Amino acid sequence: MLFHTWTFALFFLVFYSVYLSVRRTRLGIPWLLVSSYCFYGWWNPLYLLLIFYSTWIDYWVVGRMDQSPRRRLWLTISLVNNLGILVFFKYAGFATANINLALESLGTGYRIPEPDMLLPVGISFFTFQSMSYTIDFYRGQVERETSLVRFATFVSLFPQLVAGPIERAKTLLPQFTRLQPITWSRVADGVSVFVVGLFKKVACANALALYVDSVYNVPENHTAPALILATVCFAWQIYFDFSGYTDMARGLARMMGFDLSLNFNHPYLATGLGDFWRRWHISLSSWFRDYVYIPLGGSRGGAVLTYWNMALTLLISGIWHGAAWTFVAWGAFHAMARVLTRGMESSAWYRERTPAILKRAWVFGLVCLSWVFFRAMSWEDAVTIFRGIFSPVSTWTAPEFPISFGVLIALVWSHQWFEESRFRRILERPVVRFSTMVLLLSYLWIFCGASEEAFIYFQF
Amino acid sequence: MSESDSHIASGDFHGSNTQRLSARGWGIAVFALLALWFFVPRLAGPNVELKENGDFRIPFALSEDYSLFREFSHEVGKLAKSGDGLVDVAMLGDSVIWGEYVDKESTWSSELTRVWNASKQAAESKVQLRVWNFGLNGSHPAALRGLIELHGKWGSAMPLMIHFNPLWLTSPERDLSTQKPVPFNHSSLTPQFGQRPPVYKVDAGERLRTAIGQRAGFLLWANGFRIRHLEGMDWNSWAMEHPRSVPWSNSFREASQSLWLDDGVRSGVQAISWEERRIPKQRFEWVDLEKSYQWGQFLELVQDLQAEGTPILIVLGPLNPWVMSDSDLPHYNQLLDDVESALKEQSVPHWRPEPPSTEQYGDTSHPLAVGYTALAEQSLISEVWKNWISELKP
Repeated sequence: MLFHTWTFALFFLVFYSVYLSVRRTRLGIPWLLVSSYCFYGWWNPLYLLLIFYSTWIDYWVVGRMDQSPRRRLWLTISLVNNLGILVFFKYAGFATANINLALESLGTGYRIPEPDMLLPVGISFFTFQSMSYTIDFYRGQVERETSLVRFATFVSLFPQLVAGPIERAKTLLPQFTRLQPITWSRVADGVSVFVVGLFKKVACANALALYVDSVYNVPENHTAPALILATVCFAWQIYFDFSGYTDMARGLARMMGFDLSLNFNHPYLATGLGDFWRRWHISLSSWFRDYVYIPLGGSRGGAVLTYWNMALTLLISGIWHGAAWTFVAWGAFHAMARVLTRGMESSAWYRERTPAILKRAWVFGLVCLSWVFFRAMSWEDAVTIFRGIFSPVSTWTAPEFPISFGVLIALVWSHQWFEESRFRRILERPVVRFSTMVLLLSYLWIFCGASEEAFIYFQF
Repeated sequence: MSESDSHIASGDFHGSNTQRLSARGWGIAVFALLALWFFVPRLAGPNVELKENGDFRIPFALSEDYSLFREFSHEVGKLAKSGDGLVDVAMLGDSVIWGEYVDKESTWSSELTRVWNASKQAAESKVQLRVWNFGLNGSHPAALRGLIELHGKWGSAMPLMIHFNPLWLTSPERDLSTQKPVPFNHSSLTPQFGQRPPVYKVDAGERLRTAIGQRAGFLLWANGFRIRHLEGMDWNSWAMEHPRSVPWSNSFREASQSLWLDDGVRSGVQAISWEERRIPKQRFEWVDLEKSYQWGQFLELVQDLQAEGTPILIVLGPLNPWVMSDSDLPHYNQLLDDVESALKEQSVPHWRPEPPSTEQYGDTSHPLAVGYTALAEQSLISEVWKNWISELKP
């Protein structure tokens, strides 16, 4: 069930009208859980078995950990279980394919049968959310949740279940016991953010996807201008797609009385790669920082170890995104770029003397290059695209790029620049906000047909 | 904090998103949107300019623009109530009524108007007729039901002549009664829940979207707008097809205007007989009337209209009998007999004209211009037709 469909609108209407009347009774949380499971089971009811298993194990492990002196053992059980689920469902096919490739190159003639199983939607998100609870409990940063229903609701809360933001137990779980009043202002906030997210997905991401797909599906048929434009478009497509989903999730949760964390904050205005990762998929970046980078030693072991930890964290982040060598390359690219630019970014020359516009252009260029790996259908395609991008000017041909897509990107980019400048005051004027909102909704109404395009991040 | 993240206020729900409205702001925005939904369709069309002689039909390229059909029926309804002394009748059906091989002045409805108004009977009864062509390409009986019930805005007093084309019962696929999924015309007009066609196998979400899209006037208008101006695509897909075009460009205007240039015979369509076309004799897989989905829908439509007090006349066939194989002809005649008895049972007025001659057919079901004239001329000797007309008041 996708947020931008009538099916979801109907689901939410039914859910919300019941929820408003039962949320302060003992049926409130069970209703949330049942609705969340309905939402998730809509894709495939079999998924429910997995999410319930994952939830129950972590709930049970924390119960054991609470009463046992061997806390590390129970934590290990939880980690092995969660990572095992993730590896089994997400990486088994990838691993088998590579082993088979190796066996073939050795000429053994033996092949391991490739697993043909369903990748449950959003598996990477809910396992990470659940895992953070056991780690935080182990560290003493969160209280044990005694109610299985409440904990299951924390893991499966439908607005953020399939593509985040990845919430921490210490911020979300208390919201189930200390319910915020649902005021008109809260509902208005939620609807506002939801509409912005809807526009990002339906009007922007889906538009750019058409051009990106047309080029990236047959990169060998295109020359540098088209490949560059498609790469820039993909950078914006994935931003609109993912941040659009997050906006809708946060808006819905806001209407329901929950506050989900900010996940995107104008990443393409970042002035350094470090800054980029503080603005892009913030809930995942901070997850990796707290549960991978810091446990590895963070920046406490000297420069070399710091660089190593940073690179390793980014590489793992790449693998988290998908089971393909292109994702590994994407992670490795960011790791290398971060290692190479960290020193420069912290220099006074870069921070104080380099104009912000140059820094932003530089970071955007680097990030765009990394997106080639992320979007390419295969390693060979990525190589073809890089070759094309860096081909001699004499081979270039004019791309068939829709003018309106360029205008769209320019408008959004300018809007974001305005928001981070002293002109923000203009955007905050009620008449501007009102007109923009009516324009967004009118555009969706007239120019965008009903769309059922899935979100890119669902596959992760 | 670094220079770059200084703008992120801790605990700020919105972060970088300034596009938010207060509850009061949303109240005004909803009011503004409702006003837009009300005024924009009225200002931006579709505008149907009707001629007094009734020569209008929905352009072929706009067959799926149901907002245009709505507007057309609304305008005809207004004209019918205007008291200009003419009896207005809406003739509904598929491309046989629309006039596949003829221009809009030579369709069945135009010929009926012309033949009747020039006749002795018209002079005697002082009834002058104006039959409107509400034929839509591909509108099978189940779609006709949706079309009339959802989009017919002429009012319940409007006399309707509804064509029942037996072609839709010549195979389980055309009848929509096979369990195998088959794409078909005007699926959005068929029931999306409950009595939906057995061949219609789309998921519940899409059906819900379709059901809402057909009922919410502002969505129907937007869909029609995209058909008229964006070749039925959304803006994104249209922009991909026309990368250099913008809405104020000439190519944009020309593209949408060209859809209305449908006055003559459709381009690429040759008005020649089926024999010249070398269509071989046809064999059909007839569907039993009692098992037919299309007939079931048609009968329910008729019953609904009767219950509402709408004056209706059902026109049966005729398919081209000359193209049928010898074994098919008895099946066809039996089918029409069964349809007639079912309609008789329900006391529904119906007219079963004789088929035009072989050279007057363009294919299996569409007459040529001479065929329509022949059919219209039969009306003058049809008691059912004359009785029905005489009961209608201007």
